Amino acid sequence: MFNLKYNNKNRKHNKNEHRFFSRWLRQISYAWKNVWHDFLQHRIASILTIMVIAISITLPTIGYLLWKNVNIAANLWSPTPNLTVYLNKNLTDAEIKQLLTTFNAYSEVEKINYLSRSEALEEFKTWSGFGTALDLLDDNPLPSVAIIIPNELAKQTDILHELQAQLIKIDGVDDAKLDDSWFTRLTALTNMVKTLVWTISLFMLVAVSLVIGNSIRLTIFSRRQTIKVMQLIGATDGFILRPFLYHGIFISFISVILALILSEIFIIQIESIIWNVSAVFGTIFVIEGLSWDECLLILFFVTIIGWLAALITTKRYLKVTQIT
Amino acid sequence: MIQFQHVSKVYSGGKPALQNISFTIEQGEMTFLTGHSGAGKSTLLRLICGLEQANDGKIILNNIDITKLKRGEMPFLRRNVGMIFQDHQLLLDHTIYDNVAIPLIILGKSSEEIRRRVSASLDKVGLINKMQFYPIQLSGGEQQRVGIARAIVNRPSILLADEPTGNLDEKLSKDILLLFEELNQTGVTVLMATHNLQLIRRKHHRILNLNHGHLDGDTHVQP
Repeated sequence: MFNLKYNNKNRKHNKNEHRFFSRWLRQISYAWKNVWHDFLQHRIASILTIMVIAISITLPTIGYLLWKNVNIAANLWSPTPNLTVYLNKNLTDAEIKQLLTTFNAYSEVEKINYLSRSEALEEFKTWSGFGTALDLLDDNPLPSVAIIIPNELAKQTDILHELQAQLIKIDGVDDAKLDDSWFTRLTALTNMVKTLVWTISLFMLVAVSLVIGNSIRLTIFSRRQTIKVMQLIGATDGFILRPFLYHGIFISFISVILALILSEIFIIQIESIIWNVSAVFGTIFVIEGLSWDECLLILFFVTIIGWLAALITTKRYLKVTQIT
Repeated sequence: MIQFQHVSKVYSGGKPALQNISFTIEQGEMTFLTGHSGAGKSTLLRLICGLEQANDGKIILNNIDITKLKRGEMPFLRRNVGMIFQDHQLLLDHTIYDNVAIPLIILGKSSEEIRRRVSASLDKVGLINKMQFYPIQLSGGEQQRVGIARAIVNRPSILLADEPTGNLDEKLSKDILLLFEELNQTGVTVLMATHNLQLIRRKHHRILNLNHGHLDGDTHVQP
């Protein structure tokens, strides 16, 4: 008996849940129909808004792509930063060997290329063209050299400077030079691009929310009679709010799709130029577009912004208005 | 049932609109609310459907004290009260059918049920053959009837009408009044505000008369 009652109750509960769900679905589809109806009614205005938002999103996206590709290029082409350690001329072979093991013990060190004094002299002769001039000297003026190549993790200006400072303090080391001018410049450059992209993105973010907010405000304004009637008939704030939220989502979604297409067009445009330039330099560099992950992330993010902007605008309107 | 217990309403600015109003309208009763312009007829109706807040007293609707309802509960009150306005408050960019369907859409009814009930409602007011028209294509009397159809589509137990015949000639006014009487016969409580005494003179319904915010006449005879 008790069991039966329980079952009945459960079934009723399920039915209620089902009814609630279908009611919810119908209200959502009604709101979407409203959005579509509104879009068709104000076609030109909607398309203009979408264009503005799309361009606002395209700019930071292109900026991001620039930064990404500069970064790739920097990693691809920048000469590996080396530490050149000049050893004391008076060291014996055993002492030099000892020193090299000391260098190797550092975790930042990937590889050491050692040039003895005579090897250094040979290299200088081949490269400089002053070979005969050196013969005039009694003594070999060149010290022996250890070229330290840092590993991937240590290829950062700070770490390399730290390593340089440590190496100079070791007995038997005359000097340690960091050949990083190229590297520093490139890092600074990519950092600058990064900061620029961030700043532009931030401004564009504000612009996008304002444009969406304003568009929603205009929609509310053109539909205030509808809102009033809805309130008179007994619609909840949530019901009135819904079409406007969807409007925000709809506009930002379409805008993002358009922005992604525009960025892709930009990439295709610039690719041919890069091809020509890199052909002149005798290398091949392929520009990278947006990956699927990045596209999805941008889509998600901007849609959320659209939703938020719509929510804030509509809530404020509903709070202010009293039915008259 | 509509019950007012010592209700007062003062608009901001200090102008008293209603002072110490008390009356009871039983379920299924048909009542007229009369009085000069500015006597407080509209305010009284707006209090019943929660468009205004009373400053004092109690308003009891079907055993619920609506002066104690929160803002978020108001929509649910309005769903149980059909309200008809002088300027009918129709959506001009929607068809007659859509206008009447809105209360049901708000409730999330299925399209099948909406179709059935909207047709029944439009049939009752005699506009079944005009449901694909837009409000602008209809005459004043027909627009008012659309407003009535919208008010009764959700089968409310209480129907409030604020000067529904205000813009109509005598013939149309009589038609509208007949319609309200028909609805009243199905058990709906009807409270209709009007200043057209000519129209209701020969009817034997209860009349509440408002004068400068006071209730100074009630033809209702206690049995």
